Amino acid sequence: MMSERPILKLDWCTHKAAKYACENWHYSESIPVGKLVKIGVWEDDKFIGVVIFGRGANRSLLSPYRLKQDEGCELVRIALKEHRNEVTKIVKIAIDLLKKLCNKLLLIISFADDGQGHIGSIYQGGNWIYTGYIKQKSKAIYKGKIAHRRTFDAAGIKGYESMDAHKKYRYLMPLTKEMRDKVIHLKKDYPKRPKQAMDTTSITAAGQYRPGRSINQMETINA
Amino acid sequence: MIDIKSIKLNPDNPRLIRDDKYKKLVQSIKDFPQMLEIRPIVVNSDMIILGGNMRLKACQEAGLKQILIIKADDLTEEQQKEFIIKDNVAFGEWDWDILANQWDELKLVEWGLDIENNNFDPGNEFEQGQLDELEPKIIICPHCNKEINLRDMNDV
Repeated sequence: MMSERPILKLDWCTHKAAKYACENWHYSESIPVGKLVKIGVWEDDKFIGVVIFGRGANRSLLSPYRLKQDEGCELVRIALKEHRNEVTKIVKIAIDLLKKLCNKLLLIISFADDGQGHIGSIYQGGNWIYTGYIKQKSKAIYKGKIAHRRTFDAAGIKGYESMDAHKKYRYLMPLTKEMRDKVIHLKKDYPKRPKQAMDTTSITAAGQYRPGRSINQMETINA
Repeated sequence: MIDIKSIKLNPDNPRLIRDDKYKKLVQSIKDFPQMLEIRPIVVNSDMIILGGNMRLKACQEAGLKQILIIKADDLTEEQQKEFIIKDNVAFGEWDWDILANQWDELKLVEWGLDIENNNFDPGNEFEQGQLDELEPKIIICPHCNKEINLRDMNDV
């Protein structure tokens, strides 16, 4: 029988803690650059990860919605180790904290990376608006590390292999009723996970969690 | 087994030990003295330590009077130097997932393994970026030398 869930706490996070979480518990193994709002997650006072909002890598991220750079942001990382509370709940509380700090924001955008086997279960569970996907073409792999080709170029790394284009599912979370009314017409049916891709990680909705590191623990948790 | 007093610390030993680690080493010797028989201290022909300087100090503190040694008396001076370094180099790496899942974390710390503390405390809101504000884009007017914030001019 599953024991009682640990006490969940979300609070502001230091850069050091956020960096640790991203490098150890997120598939990108890196923390984004630029202005970030970093919200730490604790279960029974034990640090289990971070939810990070930022401006995103794409400068024209908000232009399709006729928003300026300071009116929206991107949910850029959900980096969690094994956890017992639902990610959807964690993200919801993180958004509440974000709104408290940046009360002029109107929209949050996030992407679920098909290349990592994610379809955005977390966002679907949180009633985000799915608006379609973009094809990401510029990723590459070098010595097992996946990054944008321009990242490798900037680091002077040669000999990386370009990866096949894969989808990034785009989800929107409007923060006001007006904004919701403005973007609701973009709504599409949620993408579904192919049957063969179902595994234990999907049960926890821990879509961002790096597979292979805690599947055994997750199975225990969900048993 | 030989008298502990007959062994000399190496004055050129390039290794240091932090106080907390040293205390753990002393405790480790007290808890598991057989380890010294399985992995004895190595000395040269002059009874100067090539491998185990910290262990000797810890043995003295733990109150041991006699210890087991291996005498490496056929090494050249160059080989002795090489040994000192190679004896302390760890070529392998820890598999932290296996350690985390199959070993007792408290025991690992007690045995002297450095486990990074990842139980961070919360930060504060002043460390966060204000995403609903843009940094001013200041330029100096070449004609009047006044500062102008480009953000104030349309949607820059």
